[in-house]
Amino acid sequence: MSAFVEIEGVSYAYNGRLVLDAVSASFEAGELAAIVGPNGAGKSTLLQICTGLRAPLSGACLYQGREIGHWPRRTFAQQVAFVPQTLQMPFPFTAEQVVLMGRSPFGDGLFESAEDIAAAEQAMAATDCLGFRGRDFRALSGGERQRVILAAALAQSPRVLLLDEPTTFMDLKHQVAIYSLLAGLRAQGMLVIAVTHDVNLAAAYADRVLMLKDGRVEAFGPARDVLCEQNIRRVFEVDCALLRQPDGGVWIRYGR
Amino acid sequence: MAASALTPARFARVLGACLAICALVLLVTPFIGSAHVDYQKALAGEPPHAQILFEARLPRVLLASLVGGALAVAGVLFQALLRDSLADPYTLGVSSGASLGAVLAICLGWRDTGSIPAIWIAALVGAAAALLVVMGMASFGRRVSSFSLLMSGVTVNSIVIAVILLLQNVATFAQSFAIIRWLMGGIDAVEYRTIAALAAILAPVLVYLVWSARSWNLMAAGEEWAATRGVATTKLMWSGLLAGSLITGSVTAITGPIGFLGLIVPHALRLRLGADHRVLIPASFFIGAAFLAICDTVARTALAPADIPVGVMTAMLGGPFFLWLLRHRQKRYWS
Amino acid sequence: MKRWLFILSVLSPLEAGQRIVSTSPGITEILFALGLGDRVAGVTSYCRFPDEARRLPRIGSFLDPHLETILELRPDLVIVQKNPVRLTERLRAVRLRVLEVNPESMQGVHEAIAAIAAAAGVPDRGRQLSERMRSELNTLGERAGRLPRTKVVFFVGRTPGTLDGLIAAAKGSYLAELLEIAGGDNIFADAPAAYPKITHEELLARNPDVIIDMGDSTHTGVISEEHRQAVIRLWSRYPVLNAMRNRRVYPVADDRFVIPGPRMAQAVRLFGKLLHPEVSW
Repeated sequence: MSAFVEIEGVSYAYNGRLVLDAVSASFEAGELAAIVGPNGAGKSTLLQICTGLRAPLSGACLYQGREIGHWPRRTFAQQVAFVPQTLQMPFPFTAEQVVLMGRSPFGDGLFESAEDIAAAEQAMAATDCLGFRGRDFRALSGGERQRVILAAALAQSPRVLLLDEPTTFMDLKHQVAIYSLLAGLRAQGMLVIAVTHDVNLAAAYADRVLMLKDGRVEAFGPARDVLCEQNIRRVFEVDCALLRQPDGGVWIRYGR
Repeated sequence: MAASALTPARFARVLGACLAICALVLLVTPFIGSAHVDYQKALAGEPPHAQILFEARLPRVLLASLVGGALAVAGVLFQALLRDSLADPYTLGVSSGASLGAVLAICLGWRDTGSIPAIWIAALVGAAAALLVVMGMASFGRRVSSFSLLMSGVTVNSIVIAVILLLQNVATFAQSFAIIRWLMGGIDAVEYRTIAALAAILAPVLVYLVWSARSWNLMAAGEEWAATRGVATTKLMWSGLLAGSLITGSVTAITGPIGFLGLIVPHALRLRLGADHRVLIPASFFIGAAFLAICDTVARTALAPADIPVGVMTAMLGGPFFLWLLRHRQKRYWS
Repeated sequence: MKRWLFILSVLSPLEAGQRIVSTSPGITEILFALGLGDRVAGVTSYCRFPDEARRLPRIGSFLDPHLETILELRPDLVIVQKNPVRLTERLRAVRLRVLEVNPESMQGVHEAIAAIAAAAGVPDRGRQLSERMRSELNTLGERAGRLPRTKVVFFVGRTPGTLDGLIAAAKGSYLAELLEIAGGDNIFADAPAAYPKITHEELLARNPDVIIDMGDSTHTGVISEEHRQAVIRLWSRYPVLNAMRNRRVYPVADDRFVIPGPRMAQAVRLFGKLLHPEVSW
């Protein structure tokens, strides 16, 4: 029995430049994993391979034992949702319309079903989007947009949620709220994989951490093992100190 | 303002309103014209009243509405396909391809090919050829992206226009006269079978587009967005490209290029009804149809017996209205 | 010294043996009609009449003249038909002697004849030519004046193979002047332009007795029987038109209709035959 999501020796290159070099990792349902690493480490590319947007140059990426490229697109979209960093929207779709787009893998007809509308409603409530549901998506702030995009993915009621820097533009309150939400989804059995450069959020919420640098896996394992001072110094090239909190959590202080 | 989830009730309400506007225009415009028509005599089939009404005016109104609707839908489609609200049915060079075909037919003196004018066939072939070149240039393997489409479309467009200019330069005086006339575009009374043929091409394409409108919503928001929501993006793009070119090519073959409409009708409707293509596509058809029928009515009556190129009217009537709409919108946005 | 020569050449009328370049078919016809054919050094690629003109060097076309070719011909005088490509200014900038004429109406043709004859030093020949043309036209006009007027429309263009984009010769056009003399009653005399696109509606309402259709003649020249049939087939869409009912739709293709010049009486005679076949022209 293979893992839920399995990455087997995946390599990828842009214009001959290798950005992923034989990356292997596996993830199980019901865990929250973080992919961390400096800029250009290949985090986003790896995530895009997991969503099926890119096919690996060599190696394979499997979902439930079947190569992602072989899944019918629709069936795959009913189970795996992707949250991009941003969405460049050329047209005046409302926030709610964007969220409802997440339901399109489920409907064949011209109109959304009552079920679709309920799912969207729930997703918007979970991400605190109801207050601006009728506004033009383009007129929202960066953080609000990210919440809408996340809501669209949640409306997909996926079994796997892949997020690319989901909280970059959010204020602190919403960063914390979203990660708590992700932790809650994990508890319900969802596999959540988030790319982030915020090691403290990863330390606080992730069960396991995949650390990438220059397209190679530097470390992969439980968060408290991977996010140690040596790894962070080596991978991020900054000085840092790990501060143990009284409640057992850690706080990584870096820079001055 | 745009409600969000599209219910059948809202769909019916909005399209009902658009259809009503279109129907009203189609009912009124045949009764407006420069020549005097006694409608009782016309209904009794008395010449020339019957011919003026049923053979000169009505077909023209019908053609104008079909063409207007078609170009507006093609505008919506190309805007979604290229993810650019400034795209129009001509951005990808389909209509310059059609023009090149027509110009070649004029220069080489191709005439009748039985029942269909050679110039229409040549224009259709030209449109198809331009499309094939654009698609060939824009595709990498089996993938195609909005950006590469836009770039190759713009390039093919300029090359084709250059060839047209070259041909016009070497053409005889009478030929270059015919070329200029054709490039100006315009609606004229055509035979009913032409209108029927055009409708037969447009109807299935329109039904397909409305049916796939949810996918176009996703596509308009982004190729990756659509792909990760279960849309077969490459297939959708090819079929959209084909649909849009079929519309633009067949319309342009008959009327020559008619500008502006494919840009402003979708844009104005988006401001009013929102971006949902399930509403936008059929609404654009009805409003585009009404708009061109009105423009053409002005074109054929204002300077009668002379006929103004209808493209002049679409710009002169549509332009100021569009500016007003944008201005109005801005005010609301800022206040 | 050179400058003096230049000024002299500008001031003096042309003598025999000097070289003239024509930049339009109408000008070429005038030059030959004035008996100046042996002085013509260059013509446009559309100059097909008289036959001698076909053998002369080509300087491009009316709208696309080649400045270099004109210079190579070392002309003493270039006669330019007023055109949108600023040829006159460009030629004067390289110090060529230029005469600008505008033979776009009957009056314009007579003025052009006078101006060209004067510049070539043969003003008498110009007067004689104009006089001859006027008297010929008078004879034709008197003949037509005794006949009832025929409602006519002349289509100078349309989209080939269709009835789309019908362009008529209306009031103010050279063709309308000729039709008038030949006894025609131009149904689009009230149009706001000389060459308007007209609507089918108005054509049906005004119902001409004669339709003269030059629309398909992308190659001016002869009309084949096959082509004639094709044009009639197009018009058979409107059998209610008097012109169709009486089989008086005439496809034409003749340089004389599109080149205002010394052959205008011939053009009027051709029109007369179409408008009033019952009398001899």
